[in-house]
Amino acid sequence: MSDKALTWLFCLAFGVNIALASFPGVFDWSNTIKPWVLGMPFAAFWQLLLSTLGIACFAVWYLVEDKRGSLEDDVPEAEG
Amino acid sequence: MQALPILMIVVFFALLIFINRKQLGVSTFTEYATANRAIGTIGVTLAIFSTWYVGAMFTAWSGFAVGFGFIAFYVTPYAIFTIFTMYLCGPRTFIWGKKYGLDTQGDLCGFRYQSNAVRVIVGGLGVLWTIPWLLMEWATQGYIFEYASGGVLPAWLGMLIGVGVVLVYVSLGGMRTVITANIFQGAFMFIVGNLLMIYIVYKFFGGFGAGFDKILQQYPAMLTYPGPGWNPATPYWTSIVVSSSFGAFMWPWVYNKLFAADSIRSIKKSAIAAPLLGMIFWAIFVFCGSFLHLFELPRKNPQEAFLWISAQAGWLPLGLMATMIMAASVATVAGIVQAMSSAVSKDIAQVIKRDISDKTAIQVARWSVVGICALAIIGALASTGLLIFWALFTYQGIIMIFPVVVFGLFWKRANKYGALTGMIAGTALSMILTLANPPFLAAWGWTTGMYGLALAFLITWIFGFFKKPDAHVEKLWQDIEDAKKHRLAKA
Repeated sequence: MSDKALTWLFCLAFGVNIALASFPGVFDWSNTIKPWVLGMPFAAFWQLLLSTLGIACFAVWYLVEDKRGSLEDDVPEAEG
Repeated sequence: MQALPILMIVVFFALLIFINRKQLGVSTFTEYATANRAIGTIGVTLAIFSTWYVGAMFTAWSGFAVGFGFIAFYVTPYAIFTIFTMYLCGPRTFIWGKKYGLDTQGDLCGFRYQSNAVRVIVGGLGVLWTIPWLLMEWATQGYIFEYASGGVLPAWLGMLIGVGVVLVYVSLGGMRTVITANIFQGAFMFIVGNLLMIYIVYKFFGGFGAGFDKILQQYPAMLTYPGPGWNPATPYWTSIVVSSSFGAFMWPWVYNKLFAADSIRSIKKSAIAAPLLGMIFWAIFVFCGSFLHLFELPRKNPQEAFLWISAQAGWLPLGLMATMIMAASVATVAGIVQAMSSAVSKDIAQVIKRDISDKTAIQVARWSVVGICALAIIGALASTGLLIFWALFTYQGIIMIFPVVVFGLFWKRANKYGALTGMIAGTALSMILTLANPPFLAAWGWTTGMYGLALAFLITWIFGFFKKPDAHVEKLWQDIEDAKKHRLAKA
């Protein structure tokens, strides 16, 4: 997979993440007290779950880029 | 014992100066603005964390958590998208910044679009929209100082001490001292802040489970959107999440950390660590704030809630809470003042007078720090209520920089005509709608900045088809390819 395709894939993942967290419809569905999950209301759990998945996405993206060497992109320092 | 909270704040300020004592003194403007691009992962992570989470979240903004409960969670999804913006914009900002010696967000945009007008407007809007935040943070410092002393010491004295500390270490050390202090402030905020809030939850509510049970019995509306006492439509939630998502990384005092990073790796590692720290800190803050709704005084005066409950726990918890809020506030203020002074010097003074020497550029930045601090302390004596209104409103303006930055970094065809027209038209539409307040705003629920942002995106995109990318843009894109080749050659 090219660097560009990889970037688009993660753009899509984060787009879906924010849509699930905030867009009317899905948000209305999640905006409820029951069921209680991990000792907190479902609405709070849903937001924290999506945030956790978002952070996991960053970690996966980082690891994939690390493996491909993309994190080593560099240029010479500006002169003067 | 009554003097303990103030003593703790004074010791904290003294520590800030002490840990920075060897960093005071910069020799070039790049060192002042970017710390010579030498900041690693821990520095970038804690700088973003401590700059972003402002001191006013425990005073002015606690109204959201204490007054309405769950709605304060809007910060967690937008934080993820904001950091996504950082992850995306980081590499190109780093590469072009390093190769061409770019030091500020306005500098980057002006260089990309080859337009001084873009540079001045992006730099100027960044400064303009930041002013209410700066004023509010200084008002917060004064308020904390007064509260921690039991009303014995006046708020203006607290502001003056805060201004003095920031003035010394920002004007003399620039970005390096700001980030060194941010590491200390961020670690203090995360460790002491979380432990203190957890202690409060267990001491006064019997733990998180028991706190939720009590809230469920007495104020169940606190556990879902929109909270008790008001009824905005769902698009209001979508709007505050989306507009904050687009706007939050555009603050020049957040964006400029990309210029200070030592590598793309450091930026991207920070993109994993910063939201993790933020999510934990914010979730505990919202839960603790929601439980405080159970008490009458916090319910009626939410801005006082966290200080009040800490005072109920004793002088030491009050001192820790006051010092932690002060740490959050000073971290933000230092970041803001450093970014504003860099923008004034690089994006405005150096456009007006091109042949400015490096030494003069540093002098301009330093005198800007003094000017900004003096003006802000006068402004901070204004009504806090008004400042909250303006601070909330600034998101409807700062997001207009988003299309300029993102199109500029990722779309060759984006040009200065589209960037300028889109930014100005979007800002104008957002302001007009805010002033006119037509009935459809409340009926549909979207905030004014969303309409402005849509217009800014559309205009910037349409203008892109009027003109082919010039040689300068092609060269910038070639730089990205060259950076990859550099990596492959090294491998």
